[in-house]
This record gives sequence, C-alpha cells and structure tokens, in this order.
Amino acid sequence: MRIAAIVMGLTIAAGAACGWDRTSPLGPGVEACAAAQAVRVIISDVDAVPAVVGTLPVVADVPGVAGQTAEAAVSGVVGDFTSVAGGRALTFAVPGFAPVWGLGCVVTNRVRAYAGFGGVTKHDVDPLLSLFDIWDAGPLGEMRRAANQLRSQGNTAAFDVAAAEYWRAMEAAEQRRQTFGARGKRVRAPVDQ
Amino acid sequence: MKSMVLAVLVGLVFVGGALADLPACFQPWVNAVGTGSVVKSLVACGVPSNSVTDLASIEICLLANTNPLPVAFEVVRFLPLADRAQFRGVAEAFCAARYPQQPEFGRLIVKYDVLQGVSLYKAATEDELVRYLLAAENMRLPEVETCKRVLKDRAVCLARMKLRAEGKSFVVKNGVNPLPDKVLPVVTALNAPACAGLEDALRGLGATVQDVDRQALRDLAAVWQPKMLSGEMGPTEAAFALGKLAVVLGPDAYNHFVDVYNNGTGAQ
Repeated sequence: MRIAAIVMGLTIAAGAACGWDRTSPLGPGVEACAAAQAVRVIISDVDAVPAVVGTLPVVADVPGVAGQTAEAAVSGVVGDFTSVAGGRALTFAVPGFAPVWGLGCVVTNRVRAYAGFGGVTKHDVDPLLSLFDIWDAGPLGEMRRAANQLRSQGNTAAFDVAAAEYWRAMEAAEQRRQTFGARGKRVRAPVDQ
Repeated sequence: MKSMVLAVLVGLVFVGGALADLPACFQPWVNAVGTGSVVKSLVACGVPSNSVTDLASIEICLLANTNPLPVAFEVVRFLPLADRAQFRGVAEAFCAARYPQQPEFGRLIVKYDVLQGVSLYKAATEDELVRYLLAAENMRLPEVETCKRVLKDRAVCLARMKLRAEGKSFVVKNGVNPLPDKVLPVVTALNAPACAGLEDALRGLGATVQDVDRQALRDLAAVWQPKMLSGEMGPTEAAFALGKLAVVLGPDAYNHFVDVYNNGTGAQ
C-alpha cells in the first residue's frame, strides 16, 4: 500500500490584503470568500515527488472555520497535528490524497487533493429517429451512428449527405418490411375472390 | 478408521444431495454465489437446516420473522414471482431501513424489482418516473441520467404511436422528420432547471402524468449546494445527492457548480 504524507504548512493571513489573488467570482454561496482567511498550503508527497504548492482559501461560511485559528480549522479534520511557528503554521500527515476538502477549501492553481465531481451533458434529440427501432449494431444502426458522429463534430455538409443516404436505406428497409413483415416472412398478397 | 472415513463420505454425499435439491427458483442465486452461501443465508433467515430444500417451509419461516434481516430481502427476490406478493411487508421494511433517505426509490424497488422481478426503469409508468426524478430525496448522477434517458425513450415511443395514430406511414417526407419535433419538448424540459415543463411535454405526447411540486427538492438543493462547497458535506455523501442537484440546477448551472467545486474558478 502506498502511503504518502501531505505535509501542510499553513500561513494564515486575514482578508484580501494578505495574498488573496482570486480574480474570478466563486459563484453563488461563496462570495464571502473575499472576506475570509487565506490559507497557504504546501503539499508534499514523501514518496518522491517534490513539494507542490497550492493556495487554499477557507470558505467563510464554514461553521467554526472562518476567523478561527489554524488549529481550530484543522481540528477534527486531519487528526493529529503539530502546531509550529507560534501557532501560525501547522504540520500534519494524512494518508495519500485524503481530502483536505474537509477544511472547507477550494483548491486553486489546479492542485487537487480530492476527487472532483463529474459534469453532465445536455440531452439532445436524434434527428435520425425513425418510426421503428433499429438494431444499433446493424447496417442502419452503423449508418446512423456514423452520421451522428459527423453532426457532433459540426460537419453539417457531410452529415446532410450521410443523413440522406440513411433515409434512402431506411425507406428501402420500410419497403422490405411491407413485403416481408417484421419477422422477415413474405406477407402474402390478398387473393382475389 | 475405515468406518469413520466411510461415515464422512456418506455424510458428504447426503449433504451434497440435500444441497442439490434446493428449490429450483434459487438456481440463479446458487449460480451466482454457490450452494453453501445460499444455504447459509436461508439458515440466517431462521430456516431450519433440514428445511432448506422445502420452498413452503422457507416461505413460512420468512413470514414468521417479524424483524427481517437484509438477507431475507435477497431470499424474497429469488422466490417464484407468484409467491412474492405476500412478502411486500418484508421488502418494505427492508427498503425503509436500507434507503431511509430515498422513500420514492424504495417504493419503486419494492413494487417492480422485488414483487414483479423487473427493472423499475423498464416497468415504471411515466408518472412514476417523473415523481422519482423530482422527489426531494437523494439520487446519484448515473441514476438521474438513466431516468432521463428512459423518459426520453418513452417520449420517442409515445411520439411514434401518435404519428401512427395520425396515419403517418413513414417519418421523412420532403426531407422533414416530424418525430424529433414531437420529442423535442420533452428533451427541452429534461434539460431545464428542475425539469420545468416535463409533465406538460409528456402529456402532450399522450402520457398520463400528474404535476409534481418541486419546491421541496429546490429547498433541499439550496441546503446541499453550500454544504458541498464548504466541505461540510463530504465527497461520498455528496455523491448521493449530486444527481438531484443536477436536476434542480439544469446542465449549465450544474456544470458551473462543478467547475467551482473542482477548480475554484467557475470558468467554463
């Protein structure tokens, strides 16, 4: 088992005047960050990797964190820690990349010490929907997939050509269904009486 | 010594024979976990070891147990479909304990997965799927995406039926495909914050769907969002709620939230 340690040296300064370099808004619910404390964190992986420096602003509305001492901020989050530099910095170890997120922090400059959330894509309507379901792995399914891939790449002209070809094949399939039925058996013509 | 070995062998043959005679309905379960595990589970449910081959005795024991263990829920899922209705109480008690924060999900699991042996996504009505999607309870992101996809597929089926009822034999006439146009309102609603207008869009295709009040879900999301950002709600706990947050916010606002959480920038 790979055990790494994250050694953090926290330098706490108050407010935007103390190294707060955020320029973009954080979004709803976290505007209060500008008035919060900034925490400078040094993360080092004792296995081999040189220290990585990140800046973690403590979100203001975390109960019991904003305005608190460094000890109070990490107490109960990372377990044992050692207070150094007269209480202005702390060192502590957590296994691997255990979430320093528990501090109520947003990681800046792309240093990630926790698993991020996944995003979502919008649902869209397939323009090649037809009146009956087609087998995705069949010839029509492959044509549809190829055409939709062109559409997703923004290649409209090529998509139009592929779509036209798809609809021609679909019409042929529909005619076959009318002749042979959905199960591939020939549908008998009505007998004149 | 020889007689001891013989006795052990006879015992093994006897036990093996008994195990081989487990009720046939448990065969998929046996295939999955092995005969020994199935017998162990049945015994844990209070079934005497000499009755594990008798389905009627197993069912009597399950019904007699007033405080069913989770394993009883597993046993019920392998009983013959015709026998399962009497175990509704066992299944409901289990789901209430297992999914305390997902009552709507638990209700659908009991109704479809347990009592009918079918996936809720296959068998639930459009009305139930909409209630499930908009219920003020936890839901993971993959389940939300599955639910939305199923609703979109249902919309396609309903649109096809509508077109057939209108006597339209084939979709594309003069280069115009009316099917996507019919499905579009549903897809637009699925992409809207809190799926606004979803019920109307489905009703427009002929589905029977009641309006759902979203206020409770919105309130819940309003509590969740700052807790996730602050870290008060840890990643594991948040994962169970993310799906519903995505429903309430809609894809654009949700992706912005994710970027804020992941990168702290909010940049798209």
